[in-house]
Amino acid sequence: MSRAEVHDAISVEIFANLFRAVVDEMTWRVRRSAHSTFIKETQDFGTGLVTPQGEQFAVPDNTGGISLIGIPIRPLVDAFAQWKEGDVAITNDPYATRGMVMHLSDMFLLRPIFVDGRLLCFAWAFLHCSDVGGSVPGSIDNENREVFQEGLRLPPVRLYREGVLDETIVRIIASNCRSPDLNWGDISAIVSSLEVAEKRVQRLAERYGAAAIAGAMDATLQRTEALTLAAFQTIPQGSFEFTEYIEDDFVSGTPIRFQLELTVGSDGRCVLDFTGSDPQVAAAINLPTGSQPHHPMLSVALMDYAITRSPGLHVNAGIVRCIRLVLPERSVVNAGYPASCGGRVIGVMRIHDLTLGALSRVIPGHVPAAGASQLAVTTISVPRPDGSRRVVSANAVVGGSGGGCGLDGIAGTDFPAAALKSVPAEILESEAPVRIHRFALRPDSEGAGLHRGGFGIEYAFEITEPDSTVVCRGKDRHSFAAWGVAGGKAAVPGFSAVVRRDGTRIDNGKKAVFRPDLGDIMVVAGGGGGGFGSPFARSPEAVCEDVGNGLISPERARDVYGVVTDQRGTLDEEATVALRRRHSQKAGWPGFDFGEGRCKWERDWGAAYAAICDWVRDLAPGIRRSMQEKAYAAMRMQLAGPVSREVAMEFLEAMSAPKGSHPSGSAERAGPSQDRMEEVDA
Amino acid sequence: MPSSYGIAIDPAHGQGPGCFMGVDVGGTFTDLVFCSADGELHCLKIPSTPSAPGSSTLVGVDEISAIAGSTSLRDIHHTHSNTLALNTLIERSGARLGMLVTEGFRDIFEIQRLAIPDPMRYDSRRPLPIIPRMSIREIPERLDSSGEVVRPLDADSVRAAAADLTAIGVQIIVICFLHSFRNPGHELAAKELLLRDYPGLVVECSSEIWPQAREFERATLTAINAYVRPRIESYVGELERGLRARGVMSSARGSRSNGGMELLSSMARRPAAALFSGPAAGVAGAAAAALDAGWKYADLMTLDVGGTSADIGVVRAGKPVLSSEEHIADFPILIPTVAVSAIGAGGGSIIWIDGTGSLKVGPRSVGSDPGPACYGDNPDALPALTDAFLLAGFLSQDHKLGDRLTLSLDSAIRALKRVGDRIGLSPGEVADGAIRITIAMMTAEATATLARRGVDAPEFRMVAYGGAGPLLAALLAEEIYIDTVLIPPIPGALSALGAARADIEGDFMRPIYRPLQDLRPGEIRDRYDELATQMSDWLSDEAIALPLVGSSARFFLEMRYDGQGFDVPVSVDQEAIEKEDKTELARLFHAAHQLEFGHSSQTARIWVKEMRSHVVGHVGERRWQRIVGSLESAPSRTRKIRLRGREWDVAVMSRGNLSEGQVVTGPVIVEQMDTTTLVPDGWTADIGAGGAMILRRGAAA
Repeated sequence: MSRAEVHDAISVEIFANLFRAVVDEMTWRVRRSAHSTFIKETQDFGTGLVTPQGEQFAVPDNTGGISLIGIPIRPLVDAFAQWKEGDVAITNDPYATRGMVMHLSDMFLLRPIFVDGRLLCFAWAFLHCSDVGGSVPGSIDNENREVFQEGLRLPPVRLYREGVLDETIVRIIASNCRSPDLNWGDISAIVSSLEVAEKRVQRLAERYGAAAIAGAMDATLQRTEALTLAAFQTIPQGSFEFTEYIEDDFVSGTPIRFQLELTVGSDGRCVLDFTGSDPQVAAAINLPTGSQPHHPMLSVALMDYAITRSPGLHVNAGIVRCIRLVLPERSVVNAGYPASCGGRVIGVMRIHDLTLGALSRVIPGHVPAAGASQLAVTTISVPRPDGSRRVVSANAVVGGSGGGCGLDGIAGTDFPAAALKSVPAEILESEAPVRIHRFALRPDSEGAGLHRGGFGIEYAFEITEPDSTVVCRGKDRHSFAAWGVAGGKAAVPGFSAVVRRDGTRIDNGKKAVFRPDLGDIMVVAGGGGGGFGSPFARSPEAVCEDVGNGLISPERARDVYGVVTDQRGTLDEEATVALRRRHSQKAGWPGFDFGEGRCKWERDWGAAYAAICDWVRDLAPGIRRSMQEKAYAAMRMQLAGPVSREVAMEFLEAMSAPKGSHPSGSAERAGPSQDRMEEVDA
Repeated sequence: MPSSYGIAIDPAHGQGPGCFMGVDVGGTFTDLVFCSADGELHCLKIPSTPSAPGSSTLVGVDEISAIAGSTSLRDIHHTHSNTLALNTLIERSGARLGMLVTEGFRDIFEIQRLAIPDPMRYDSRRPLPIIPRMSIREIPERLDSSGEVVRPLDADSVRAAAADLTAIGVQIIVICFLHSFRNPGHELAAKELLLRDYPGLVVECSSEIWPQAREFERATLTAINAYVRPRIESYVGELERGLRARGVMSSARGSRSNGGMELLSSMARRPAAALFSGPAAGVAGAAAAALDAGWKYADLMTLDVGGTSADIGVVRAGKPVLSSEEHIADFPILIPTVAVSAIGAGGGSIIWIDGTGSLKVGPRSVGSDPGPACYGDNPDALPALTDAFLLAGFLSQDHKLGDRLTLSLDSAIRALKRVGDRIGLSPGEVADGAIRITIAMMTAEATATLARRGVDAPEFRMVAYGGAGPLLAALLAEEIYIDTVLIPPIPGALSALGAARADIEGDFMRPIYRPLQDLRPGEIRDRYDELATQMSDWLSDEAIALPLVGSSARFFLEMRYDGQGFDVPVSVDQEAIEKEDKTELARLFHAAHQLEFGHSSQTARIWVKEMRSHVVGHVGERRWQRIVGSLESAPSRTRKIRLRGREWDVAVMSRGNLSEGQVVTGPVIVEQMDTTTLVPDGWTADIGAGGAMILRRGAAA
């Protein structure tokens, strides 16, 4: 190591802390004065300092947005030929920013920081606006088929030009959302945080010199990169595959397949190859990642792994540098215009599980098993006396996280959503006509295991004023539960129901929008997390504690964990030893348990669906998903499972065969056939 | 507005009693300060006795008796702060509790607020519940958000729950029902039912502890109170008996987390209000020290660097900033608490190398056993920040640290060398680097702490105390652009002194939680009257045998824009309250918001969350003529220090040699019994009124 590097060893830590000071101050600016619940309780905003090349070199480590850490800012940096002091750019357009903005609800703002007339770096912040217009209150509905239904789309523009506010843009935003005051309050808070960042960085430059700051930006990125590589080197080299599904795409009943090959190199560099993942879908689940080679939303599991493994790591874009992505064009993980993407968080969460699955093939137990992996965000729109409507955020329902890392899973929340806070019942009921009947864990919902999954959660509420609309988007894992690994069991999936005043109960499925009658009680439930390791290896005392706490029934303790106990959790040691001896289980390696829903589906339709996926690959990108939907629907209607690959291929061949003058498999003629499909769906 | 709340004011006691004592029972040491009738201030440091938490205080009192004679203790004013409540919570060694909650909310402690402390770490979990799920029972009952009964309390379920919980050995039951902060009826009725059937039970209602909205936070505070209370009560009982046996006949007072005090017997009933009494007394002591130096209504940042952490507090207009959003052991504390944020950068913080060969400091600490390498001769000892201070010349191996023996420079060098060898740095370079990194870490923490309060450091001055605070204060001040630093006369016992000098201070609140335009006529006035009565009653109880020189109260409406995350306290006077003019209240809020955040929104809806009041019973100034012992003088010397990457020959002076009005120019080191102060180049130091040392930047002649 050279002398210069040696001194870097000290200065990099000094500057990393000084940069932290700047971004923490930005964060507090926003948190203190922002208006909307999204910022106040769910902390869905982020701040950072960005290099002239568009990499975040400093971000706070205590806000909600891990999936925004290391997001490429370059597209917004490049959006303007020239930056001037006092400019502030704003945009929420995924398709003008190549994978930076990932849905319309996120407003990104960027302000250049000049020192002595030269650009040193940028101050960046984003916030999730509680509403940007579109088809539903809160703007996000998984059933939206195109980005045009999702609200205002603002390409990169200057909100401030050399310090002067462009009122036109303010008016455009205000005219296109349901809660203009809230949005403007939040945007003002963000703008003021960018201002303070500029002042602070300029002061640092005064004290230490701009060159030292510029050098430290690179050094802190490099250091985080090096520590991340060291963390990844704890994973054995090799390639590991995994497949995950979203059980249906909210509009057509067709699943969405995510396919991954994780390759870990000898230097710790990782490649996430998503080849084989489904085409982009006509539902708001797509990830418009703009073919970026590095992107945090597809890298959450590896990022969390690196952070868990590296105490004292300064979190920044250096982490995603170590994770290269291979993304098929116009796929669900790399969607093109005009794919809808409002509810992409479900994709992010499923890709988190997908990566945990690939990692579990090689280091099971060093990462959690799958989690409940839904983020059902509830928004309520209630009428005001003057006829306008008020939009209130009314809690998110997640579910348990998977067991692993030597610990049981977390009850009621899952890692990609673990920064999210619930809204206190007393606050929500004071601010909106809501009565919460239950916000409770679901006993017996956990994936059993040596380290069991976290328990699922159930939220039951009622709206006490007429003519309200409830939007609960992002419900998932109603059938394909969180999987367990290494002998650990899959969890119990989630559900959603409405209990009518007369006591009848209707399944509300995954539909987002519901207009309740007075007295309807809506129930949204998240599943448990998957288990790690055999439940028969779990300590009987731990099982008894769960039983005593009323979270596991004595029957389940006996049948699933092999522990004999009474209702109070008193252990019958002798009977337990005997029972466990009788049932001595040997789990196959890696011993995934995908749960009943997915197993049954895979048995019946897994091979057929794989055949369909291969079949559509040769079609024009624009029609792949609709043909996939069409073929799957036709097969489900005409065939009975289990369907082998051969049978499915025959079926597809027959489908592709020219029929009169309408060769439906031809790309050029695909438009009309797609339209017809939509009619069928509707 | 009444100025004294019906409390007799004795003008003859305008200067306060002559004799006073302050005690701060810490984890390792118990500090006592004692001021005799003739104005001599004594400081004592006694090893703490965790197994019998009152004993170390009594040992100290015996020593004071020996110095001053036991008769001088008879009517002494004495205030006690302790970490016992906090440690009971952290060590999880409190009472076994049961709990009643509203049906549907049994998982209040399992779910908490859903989030985990460190969402990016796979090994982060919520803190373990204080009350396990098996000891929590759901009761059919329900109020709506205005406190109206939606579903009456089911008495049979309460009785059944009581039978159930007592059967599993629960002796204390906590009750937290939804919206009880608006209407305590159901909680109180349930309590009555429980006590009727089980007179031996202890029952605590959340509406009685702190009636604020947010069920998890209120339940947590109530549970913590019940959890630590038995231990605190036995400590207080033991202490009071011991004091009486030693001829101390006056009532003991206890420090509170709000920086004030109350009767120790009151504290024992509601220890949740004293969880942070030690650090709070320190910040209050720092505020008092600033006032001694003639800094009136000062805006201050306080820095207390001890063995394991650096604690940063904020004082505005001479008063410690209180917050209702503090966390202790990952639990939220709603009750107004002196806001102190801590980072793991104290004398014992470990110096290490990360995977990239980069130097790191903390957050792990060597602890008091074995302590930093220089405390002993263990060849494998890990290097800590104190070792860096020693090698950099900030500390001297001849100079005693507290009651430690001399420090071993050889051990420090050996430990630092082991770290330095891994990356090709000399031990001196490691020491210098570790100190600079520590300053940068403190910069980040100080910036965040001040930003959280919406204030900007350069407008602030600093007060530094604790063993190593004065050593690092000026270096940190430079980094955050503070120009003036005050080192109190006894920086090592500031919490004890702060406790001794505290006023009686209480916080009270009434919920309102309504949009401003929906307030009913008379609503604000009624809340005000309720608060005024409650405050007045409390103050007259607390002022027993303690003549006050006056009292004062301030009232605030906590307001926010619709949907906002923070309340802005709007100070309201009696006139505004009497008039209840909504336009005027809105104007006051817009103005307060503008002042705090630089913008306001005239069209947004305004919510009034609650009315709060803070009452102070002033006990008069407690001053001393002379400090005994700590400021011994010694001949000046020089030594080499390493600072900012180079070596300097600096003068080492004794604090006792500096006289009022004298100015010394840095770099210079000033030593005294309980701390060492570094005055870097570019700084001067002078002794101000009251004996404080004041460091000033850029004032060199």
